[in-house]
Amino acid sequence: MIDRSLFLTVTFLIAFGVVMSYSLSSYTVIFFEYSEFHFALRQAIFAFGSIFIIWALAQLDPDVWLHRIGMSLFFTGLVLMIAMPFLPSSLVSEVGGAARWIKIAGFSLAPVEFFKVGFVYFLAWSFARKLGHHDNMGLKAEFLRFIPYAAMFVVVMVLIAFIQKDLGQVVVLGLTLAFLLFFAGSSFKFFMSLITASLLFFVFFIFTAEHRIARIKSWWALAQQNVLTVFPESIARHLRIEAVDEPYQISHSLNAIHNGGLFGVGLGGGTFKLGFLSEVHTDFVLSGIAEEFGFLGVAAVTLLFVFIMHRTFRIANRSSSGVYFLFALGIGLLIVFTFMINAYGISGLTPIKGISVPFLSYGGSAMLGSAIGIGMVLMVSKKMERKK
Amino acid sequence: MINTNRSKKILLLFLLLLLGFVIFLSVMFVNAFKSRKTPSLYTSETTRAQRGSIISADGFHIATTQKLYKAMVNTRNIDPQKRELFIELFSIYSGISPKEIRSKLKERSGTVVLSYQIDPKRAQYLKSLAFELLQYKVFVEYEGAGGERILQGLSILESGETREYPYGTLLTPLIGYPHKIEDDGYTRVYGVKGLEKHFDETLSAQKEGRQYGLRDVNNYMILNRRSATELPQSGMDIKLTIPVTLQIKLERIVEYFRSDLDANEVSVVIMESQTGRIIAMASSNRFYPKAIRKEDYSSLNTSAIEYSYETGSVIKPITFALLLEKGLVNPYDLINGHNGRFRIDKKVITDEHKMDWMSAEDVIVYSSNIGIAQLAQKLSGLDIYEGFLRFGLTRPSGLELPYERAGVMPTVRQLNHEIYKATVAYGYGIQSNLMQLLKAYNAFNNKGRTINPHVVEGSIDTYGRFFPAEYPPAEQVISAPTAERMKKILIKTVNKGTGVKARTEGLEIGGKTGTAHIAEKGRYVNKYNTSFIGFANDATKLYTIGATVIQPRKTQFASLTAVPAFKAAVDLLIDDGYLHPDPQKFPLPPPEPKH
Repeated sequence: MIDRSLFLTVTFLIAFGVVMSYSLSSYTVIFFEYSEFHFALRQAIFAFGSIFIIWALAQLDPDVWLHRIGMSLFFTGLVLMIAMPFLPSSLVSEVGGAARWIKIAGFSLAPVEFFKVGFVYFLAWSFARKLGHHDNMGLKAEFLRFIPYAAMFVVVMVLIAFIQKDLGQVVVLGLTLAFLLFFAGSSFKFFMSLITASLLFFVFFIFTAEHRIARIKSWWALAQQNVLTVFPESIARHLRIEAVDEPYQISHSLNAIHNGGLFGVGLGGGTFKLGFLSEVHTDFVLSGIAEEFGFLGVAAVTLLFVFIMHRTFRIANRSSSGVYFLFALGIGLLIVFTFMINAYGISGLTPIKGISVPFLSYGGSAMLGSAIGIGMVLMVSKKMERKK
Repeated sequence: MINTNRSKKILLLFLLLLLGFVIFLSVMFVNAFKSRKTPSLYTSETTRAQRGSIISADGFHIATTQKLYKAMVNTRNIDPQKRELFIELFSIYSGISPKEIRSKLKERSGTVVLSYQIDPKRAQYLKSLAFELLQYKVFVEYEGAGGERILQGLSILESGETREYPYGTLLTPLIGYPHKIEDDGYTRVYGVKGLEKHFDETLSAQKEGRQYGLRDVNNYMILNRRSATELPQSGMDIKLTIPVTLQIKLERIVEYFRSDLDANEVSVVIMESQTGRIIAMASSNRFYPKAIRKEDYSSLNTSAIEYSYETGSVIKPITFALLLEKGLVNPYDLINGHNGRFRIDKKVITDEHKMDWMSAEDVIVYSSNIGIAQLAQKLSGLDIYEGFLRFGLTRPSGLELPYERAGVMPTVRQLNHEIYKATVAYGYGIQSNLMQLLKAYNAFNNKGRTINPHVVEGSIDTYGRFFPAEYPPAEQVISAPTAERMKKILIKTVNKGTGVKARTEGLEIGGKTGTAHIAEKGRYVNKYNTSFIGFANDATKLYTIGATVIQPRKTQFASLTAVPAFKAAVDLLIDDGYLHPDPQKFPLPPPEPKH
């Protein structure tokens, strides 16, 4: 039995995303002299495509198709990402030195969005075959069996972080990898040492460049207002730094949230979407929703994502095969982490990463990618075991 | 490999991630309700209301107000690569040379005012240019001290208003001139002289327009149900009774006479006798209100009301009318002319035109000082005082101009002396201005009634509604038969007496000359003012016309100075279709040979 409620939830989010892409792009379309429906129309086309893909994938037999589709996505995505730096500029659109899109038939597609789904499948498939329970084999042995995956992840990281300059995606993939490892049978100790190692790497990464330190500082100056309130004053005093001006985008994101209040100013009535927040229909779509639908609107959207998490985890939990289990879990994590990194970014909790909200943000590749992921999870959902 | 603890682990993960969602929502909740200094969501725009125009009877805008704009650019927003493109385009749109723009841009880094003197049309062009330049990324953002991204580019703002006089010196000094004042960075205009001053309150802008609404990041206003608009209430326009087409020709005529007679000034005023509407009022001495030079200072005053002088013989008909009205004289009474030389008390009075016996009306026709001096003795001092006052002498004429000089008259006590009676009767010892005389003479051409002379028809508000100006009612100063009698005498004066040069076939023309010595420092010197006040009528239209020539040096005779100027005005009225001569109705009698 296909998970109907998951399908409907995702469909609703996609539809809501189309509405918001119309409302939130109202300044951009005037500024660039586009037609009023420039963004909404494109988003709608992708929305219909995505919903169709989800439906179509859900019909297929996972025992036959999941492997074929997962592997094709993984390898095609990988090959495209490796090839992208060498492709002529007529095929690759480059924005700010980041080559993320390939032009196909008038559309620009970002291979990474499809690769992510393939990546999750590849890990699920490989982990289910190669990794078993750790059985207290020791940290060293666990580390040794992880080495091939670590090597692959480094390649992927280089491709995405340095060539596409998309650190947010790397974080999402890294987190998903770590959690999947854990669920594939690694020990908690190994899991924690992996997390610690990546944290250390991150700290090292940040302190090797002046501008990254500055960025972290400016983030903390803002985040402390929220974070320090939970600490006792004696500790908070030492953590507090001189307030500097809020970063421009975050500042307007918070303005938008504040302006929205509890109920919002109403659909179409936002002010901070009018050029203050320059990417309001993409990365800051949650701020836009917060302004027009208020806290309640954002809470409702968040609850829908919690529901998606719940349904994918439920599918994972009830899967008969290890691959299905890890894949459904991985896709759920992928969507949740993506949402969360964006959500923490726009509310000033973490330094912002240019990452979009699944289903809601304007952008065809991300939507299609997520839709394929959900479609494949629904495909798997047919093989769910009845309640034990 | 399926872990038996899988469900538990998943539940744990679920709860962990749920905590993540809860943290996000709590932060959102706090941010939504925590007090926060957000930038203003609204913007407002003030549309300055303008000073009204002064419009001629035939619809020409003699004095108008034009808005001025200033163009400011933030030099830091100009992409250095596209600086030359900006200069070129701004130059084309603004008409300012590229060289000037370049040097202005070099003045300083930051906001630079490129011009304060941009007219509304160019301002409109420049506003669209500012938008285009933003589109083509000629302006780029830069980071301010606080890390904020600043993009100001080119802004076009109202900087003030300027008063324009598209027809140059036309209608000056009547129209007056304005002054500029700086009010909170905005240049405003107010009237200091002439109509600009008298109607300053009417012309002045009433209320600024205001628009209020939500804004976008570039401060463009969003007009929706949350915006409000109040229209500006500009000052009212003033509509004159004077058509430019007539005025301009009369101005040329007085200019011609001024230079021909080598006079200080020549003024002519033409008024409709039945309504008091002045249809032309020309002075030879005019100025350009936008650029007043030192040599213009003497031209700034409207002499028709601001020059008060001893007018001489033009007073005689008024004295005579008082006598007639009181029944103290019959036009056919015989008066002794004393052969041009007569002594009252210690003063010797002379006549230019020596006569022995003459009819009382010929005292006017041939302008006999001796005759009128003797007749005036029949009036009491009070009669003269009150009578002159009733005619409007030494009283403000009521014309809509500030700074009128009403003139002076001897006291009743002085007027009881026979010498004062005599001199005042022929226009010495009493001062008045051209407008007062015109008003007084109008009684002769208007059944004994004087009318408030006026140059303003009414005012027009922002919505185009016309409000007619209101004036005091006509005053019956003498009876209609007396007026009729006087009219005949003045017609005879033109046909046979001192005014013969004004004779015109087919029209009913009357009037009286006046030549008066000018007194300087208490003594009469060899300088003269000449006047001719009269009327010209056809079958339907009646006009009262006054001409004064101030200090002609070519000749001091009114008959050779003011009368020809009067006659030229009458010819102009015929040429322009204001009067239609009818020789059947008003045949020209042969001039009488001189005695």
